[in-house]
Amino acid sequence: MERRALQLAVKKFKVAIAGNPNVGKSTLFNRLTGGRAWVGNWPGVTVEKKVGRIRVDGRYLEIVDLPGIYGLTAYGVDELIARNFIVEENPDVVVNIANAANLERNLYLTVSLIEMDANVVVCLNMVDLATDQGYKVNSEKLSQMLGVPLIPTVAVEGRGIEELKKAVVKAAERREKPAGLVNYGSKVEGEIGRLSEVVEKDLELARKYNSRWVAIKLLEGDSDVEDKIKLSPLSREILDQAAEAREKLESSLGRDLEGFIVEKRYEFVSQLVEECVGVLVRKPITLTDMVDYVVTHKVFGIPIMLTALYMAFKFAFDVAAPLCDLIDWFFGCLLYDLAATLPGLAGSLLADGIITGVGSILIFVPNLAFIFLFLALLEDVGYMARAAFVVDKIMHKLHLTGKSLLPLILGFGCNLPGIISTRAIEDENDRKTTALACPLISCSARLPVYLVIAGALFSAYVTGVVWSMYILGVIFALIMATLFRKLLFKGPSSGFIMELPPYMRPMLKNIGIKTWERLKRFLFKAGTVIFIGVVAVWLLSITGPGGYLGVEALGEATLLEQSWIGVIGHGLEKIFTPMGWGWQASAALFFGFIAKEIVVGAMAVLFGVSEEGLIGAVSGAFTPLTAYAYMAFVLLYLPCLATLAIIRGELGLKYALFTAVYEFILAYFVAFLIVGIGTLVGLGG
Amino acid sequence: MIPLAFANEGSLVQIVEVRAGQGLTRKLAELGLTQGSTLRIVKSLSPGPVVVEVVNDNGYTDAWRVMLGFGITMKIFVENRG
Repeated sequence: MERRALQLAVKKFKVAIAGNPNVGKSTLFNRLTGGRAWVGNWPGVTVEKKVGRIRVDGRYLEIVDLPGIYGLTAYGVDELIARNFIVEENPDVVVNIANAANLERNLYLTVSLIEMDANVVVCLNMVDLATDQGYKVNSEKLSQMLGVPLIPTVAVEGRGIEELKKAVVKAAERREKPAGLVNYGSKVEGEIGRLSEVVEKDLELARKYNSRWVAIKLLEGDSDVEDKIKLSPLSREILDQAAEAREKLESSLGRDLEGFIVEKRYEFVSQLVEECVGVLVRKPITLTDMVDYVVTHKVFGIPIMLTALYMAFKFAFDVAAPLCDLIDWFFGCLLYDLAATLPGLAGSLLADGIITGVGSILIFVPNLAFIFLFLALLEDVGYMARAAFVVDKIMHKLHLTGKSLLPLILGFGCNLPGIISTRAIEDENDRKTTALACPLISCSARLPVYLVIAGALFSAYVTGVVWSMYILGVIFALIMATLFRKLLFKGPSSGFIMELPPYMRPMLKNIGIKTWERLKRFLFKAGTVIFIGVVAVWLLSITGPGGYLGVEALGEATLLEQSWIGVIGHGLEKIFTPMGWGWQASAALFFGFIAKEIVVGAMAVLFGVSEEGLIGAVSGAFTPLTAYAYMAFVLLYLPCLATLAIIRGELGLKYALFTAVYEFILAYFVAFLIVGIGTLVGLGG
Repeated sequence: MIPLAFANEGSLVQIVEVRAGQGLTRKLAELGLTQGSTLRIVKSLSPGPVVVEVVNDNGYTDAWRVMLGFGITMKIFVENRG
């Protein structure tokens, strides 16, 4: 009794948002929740689950953002997640967001949701766009015909959001009987009726699911629903009856039942649209058409894409440069000097270990922030979808699809968000392949290494040499991806289907959220994995086989040579004998495992010079040939610690270890070839 | 009958056959891409991926476009309708 009273005091309703991709679902979610949401994963899969909570008229609404879907066939992870959530978790209300400018396609999902017995409230979004494009939607009539509440909105501007909230609460408290059920014709309806009677015999099934929906899905041959039925004690009877009905209907209809059912749904939707939507004018050639003519051009498409991306990166780096210097100064001078005043071990740990290490990672934050910002902008206006289209043909030859483009491009900023964004690739094999190849893309942390080494040995050709590293990275990423897809993750791809929405005015809030979500991963990793790694290396530097060396080792090459790091460096030097790298350069590679740009700072310490004097030291330690091989090795050799941690999190420990091993072998092989071939053709001097 | 990958930009085609697994066939059907549907080829990197619009029975096209990757356009067979 008491519990009941409590429940009545604060009513809590579970609300799910469902809709096609690109109809403004995230915008609506952000509008409803005010942007306050927590992100988790759907159980068992790595698709993001967003949940937010708001209070409306003294009730709590817990709002779940379902993945964007076109139907409820349970084809692909997204549809399965959305459908299972609605069927198993039984949300009090499903807000179905539909694009008013494109009703026919959107209503298919609406009708499917109603058929599933979800308590639907339709949010008819982008009504302004529909009017612009010459459509007039009679929303009262549509609401009546569907038998569910319908609220017109313009989520971008926040219009209609309050009305929608009220309608959701109302629907949660009192449910109307929906009218918008598809009639499949007397023959099929007869079988649906008979089959649902059998389903209802199992009281457990009848309690959990809508029997009519189960019957229709069984007639469609939906294997996921069949699996659910198999748990019932009456499964035999139900499945036999379904198979019999299907056979009977297919022979009397003279065609496949599944196609017939989808078609009937579309017919019903067409009828709704015909009665409720007036076409005012024929749509003219739009701006989207004109822009698309150029950016998806057969010949110019790819050059345009490369130019756009180059400009985005160039601009991001230029704008970020002063900010990077500021952070560098803050950590390198201010904090470092402050920490160094602390006496003894603690001061050194803080200054030489944590501040230097974490600081050198944080220097990249402005760079990354701007790169992610520009990419989010390109995504938000709709350009990235076009870019995926123009590269699909090349990707197909490499046994991938256009969907792998975005992760690889993000990888130029930082490999971490690149690997995480592979989640958007539906095909598991395509996804793993892309994630494993992504660390070969030259991230921004590798640039300082190239700049120092190329600056020391290729003074006149720095730009060309650095560019060649980026190109090398792309070439190896594509080669390895092709090999993985052909040998490791075999099997046909489930293909690449993507909606091509019209270009949209970018939404600052969406861009901000997307940028922050990507940057957050980087910061989180810098704060955890890299922190631990930095402390470990610090410990290995001040101790050696002979015991404690003292913090002076960090500033003195001769002392450092006796530390564990020195031992490791000398060990690695032997492995790298064919390449002719000294122990200092070899040991620096070990540091680079934490984060690649640390290679530069580590070399300075190991050579016993300041960072300014490094150019001189490096030019003495390498020949142009061994230096080039060294750069290629840094590009390929091991993903940084944070990247490995992400791969472990996304794909499992097995794949993280595999990546470390394959990259090391590849890097060794490539560096060896560069030195070997170079020497043969007489570049060795 | 040609694979969709080879259809000309700007042309109208009708789907004759979808040679794909059950899952993909069903997904395509839900998008309105099924045997008998008429499509307008908005963009084609022929042979390669295409962008199509579905032409409704009343002759109007949706304001909705979908791109199909090279892998899929080789599995959909169409006939030219002008």
